[in-house]
Amino acid sequence: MMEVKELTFGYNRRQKVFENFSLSLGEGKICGLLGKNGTGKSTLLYLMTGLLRPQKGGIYYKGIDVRHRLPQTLGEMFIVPEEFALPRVTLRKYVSLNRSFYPRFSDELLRSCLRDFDMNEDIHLGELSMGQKKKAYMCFALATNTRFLVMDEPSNGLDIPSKSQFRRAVASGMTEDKTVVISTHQVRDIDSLLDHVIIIDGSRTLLNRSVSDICRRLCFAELTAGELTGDELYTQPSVQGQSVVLPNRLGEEHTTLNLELLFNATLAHPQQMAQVFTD
Amino acid sequence: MDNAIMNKTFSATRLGWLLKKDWTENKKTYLTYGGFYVGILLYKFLGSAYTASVIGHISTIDYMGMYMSAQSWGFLLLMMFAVTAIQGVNTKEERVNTLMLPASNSEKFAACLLRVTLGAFLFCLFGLLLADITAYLLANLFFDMPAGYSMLLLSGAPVSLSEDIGISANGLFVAGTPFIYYAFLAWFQSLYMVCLLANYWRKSAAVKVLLGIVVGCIVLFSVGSLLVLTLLHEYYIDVYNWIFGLAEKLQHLDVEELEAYGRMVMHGATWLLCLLTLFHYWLSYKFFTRIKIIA
Repeated sequence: MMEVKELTFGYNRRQKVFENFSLSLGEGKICGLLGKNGTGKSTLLYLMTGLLRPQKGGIYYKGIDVRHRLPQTLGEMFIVPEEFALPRVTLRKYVSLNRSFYPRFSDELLRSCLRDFDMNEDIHLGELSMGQKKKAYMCFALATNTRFLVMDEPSNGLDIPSKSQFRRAVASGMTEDKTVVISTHQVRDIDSLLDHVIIIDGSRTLLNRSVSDICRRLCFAELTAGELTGDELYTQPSVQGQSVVLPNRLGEEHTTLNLELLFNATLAHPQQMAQVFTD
Repeated sequence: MDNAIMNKTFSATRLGWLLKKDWTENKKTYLTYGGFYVGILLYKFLGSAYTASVIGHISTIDYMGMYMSAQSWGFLLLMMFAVTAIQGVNTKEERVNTLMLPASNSEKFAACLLRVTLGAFLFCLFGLLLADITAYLLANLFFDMPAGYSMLLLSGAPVSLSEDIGISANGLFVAGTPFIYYAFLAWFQSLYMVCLLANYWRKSAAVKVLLGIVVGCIVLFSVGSLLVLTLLHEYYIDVYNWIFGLAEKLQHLDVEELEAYGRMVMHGATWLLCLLTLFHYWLSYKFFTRIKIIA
């Protein structure tokens, strides 16, 4: 669906954010895009949606170069950036002005999403708090029903109930032909939502695996100091003792994905982690 | 929804949606601009009518001056609309909205160009009409107007200013002296627009670009003058002979021939300005297609 081929990009000539970076995203996935600060997560999202142009290489959505910003590709993608601007009109008016541009716009999805967020179409976008604006914007984004939806730090600014409402709204709008890419630092907000994890570090893709694959090959556990066997790929102190990542060599029962632990383990021992997935 | 429309590079329907969206989201701004223009004109027109009512003679109303004033303030209105060329791309957040909207670059630019040119022109026209009618009605209601008082647009002033504009016998557009003024306005507005679109990411781009153009013009004028003076100094005999020859040639021409020469120069300058305006629009489009979220 989305192909990033040998991408080179930098905001200036000396410092490159990406150099010969390649990535492929399939359909029917909710992908978590993770990485340290400054590794280019938002930049990659902007590049994938054609908001920035690669210096070398190309980015293709269903074979079409996104840099051309053709209506047929733009009509199939939507980005929810970390910061956004909304006009001072009612949500109903906003929807009526913008829905025509999106061929797959769904009123049903909009209503269900607004219901999930305890909102209605009569709200005035100019009179909302930042969190409410974000919820309204996300409702519209999901209602566009685009096949490629990108969200940059979607849970920022949302209160605790809204975060679970957000997860419910995204999950309920998901279909086989859609791809949702979520870039965030708030990994706990989305770990139960994801079915694919991508961890990037500059020009390297440290991990690009489905959650089921990760859970088949890795175990996430809380152990006391006495329970450590030395087989652990990564350990970090926790309230219970040690949070550990272990290779699931025996094919034991799958544990729940601990995204924070996975992220730290991948950054700390990228080669060991890569080895686990190539074995 | 018609899916086929998404495969078109240019769709009039989508352009219509863009214009409707633009009007709905920004009508307050445009109406404020228009209101400012109408307010200024109303003040001028009523002031003139009041003077005539006090003196009691229609000849004190300077219709030509009123019309020139409408044109000068109209120029300011045009420039205010030119600033809206960067309306959707002024901030990073606005750029995301504009660039991600599923319409082609040519449609987005066409909507912008229509707003800046045709939109501004219509606001000028209707603003003038509204101010004229309102001033006429108010003056007749509240002042003791002398006989012969009429609306500015019926006074003959606009016609006398534009009487040189017409269509020649062979169907080609003939531009008289007044048309060069409109060509200059269009050229300057397009120059401002292209400079704005080349500097969309700067803070307070509208002011900085205007200052840049003014400074640029001063520098160009100074360098040009210096160059001319240097050339005059080096080749003063040749230049003197050329000017003397030209003056002598002009002296032998009759009034009609002189007028024809004048009109030819004016036509040439008008066409040059029109061509430069088109070039600026093309350049603006090129800059528009290169807009990125981060410059």
